[in-house]
Amino acid sequence: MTTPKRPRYSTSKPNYSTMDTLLESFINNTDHASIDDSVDRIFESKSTDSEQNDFIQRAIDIGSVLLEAGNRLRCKQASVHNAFVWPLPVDVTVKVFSMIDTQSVFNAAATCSYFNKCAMDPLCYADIDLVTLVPKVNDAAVSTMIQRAGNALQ
Amino acid sequence: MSTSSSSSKKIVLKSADNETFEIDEIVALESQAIKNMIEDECADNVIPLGNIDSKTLSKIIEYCKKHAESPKKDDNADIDEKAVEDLKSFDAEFAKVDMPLIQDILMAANFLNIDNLIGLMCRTIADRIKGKTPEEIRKILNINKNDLLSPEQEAKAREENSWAFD
Repeated sequence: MTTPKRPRYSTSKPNYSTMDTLLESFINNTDHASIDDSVDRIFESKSTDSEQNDFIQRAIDIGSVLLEAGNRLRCKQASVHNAFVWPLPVDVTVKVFSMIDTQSVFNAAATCSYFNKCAMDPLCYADIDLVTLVPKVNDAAVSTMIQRAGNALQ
Repeated sequence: MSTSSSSSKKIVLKSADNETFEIDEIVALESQAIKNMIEDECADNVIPLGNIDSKTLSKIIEYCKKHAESPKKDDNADIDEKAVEDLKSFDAEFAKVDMPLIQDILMAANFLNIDNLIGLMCRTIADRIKGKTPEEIRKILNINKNDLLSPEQEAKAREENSWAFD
């Protein structure tokens, strides 16, 4: 038995550092006019319609990949610390959440990404109050809460 | 150990904007952090608090003074009801400030480790956001639009907890 031949491009690991350097220098380029010019030149150099179409599509694709990455990073950073608007560290925020009823915790969790993270803390669910809840509660919701509460459940 | 015996000793606290506050040591001891500093004898005459401004610090001292003067629960089993009530209404009155100041006080209390005050401020915030919608909570707490969940995350949060809404 012979092992199937691997395609040539996957025999070596992609060179991450080259990619990183390339992207970094690309993103650090703040001269947007020069990017515009350059794109125009490359477009003109394509000889056929299909090549030109390919090029347009790739430019749009990479643009949206970068946009998505930027948005994702901004969200991630905001959830680490929502420093400008909410100066309190996680433990204090969790303490506040532990004092309000479970439904209010969920409302707070939908407020911003930082609160969303804090609201995953077991202490917020130490005292699950099902009596005052609306009848929409189903088993799945309760199990989510119990799971989050973990050992802190009293 | 010279700490508790000399109750007339003075401590000077210095705020971030270089204002100094001279207070009785007994008042300063409401702060567990300052208490530790004094006990470890690493506190000079002046304790600089570089991350607390004078407005916040004066509120905190006001609180500590009141609580230091009030009889402690474990001091005396039958402290009169009036003192307890008095302290309660003081706390209620004390908490009637705007949200930024509450956050400043809570931050400082957390830093100085003043347990009662942390509890009071957390309770105050909790009471204000209790039973409110996410939109109302954002308004109350001045949550910036830039730090909102991404639409997918918010949808996910709502879906997970859908029973809790409406």
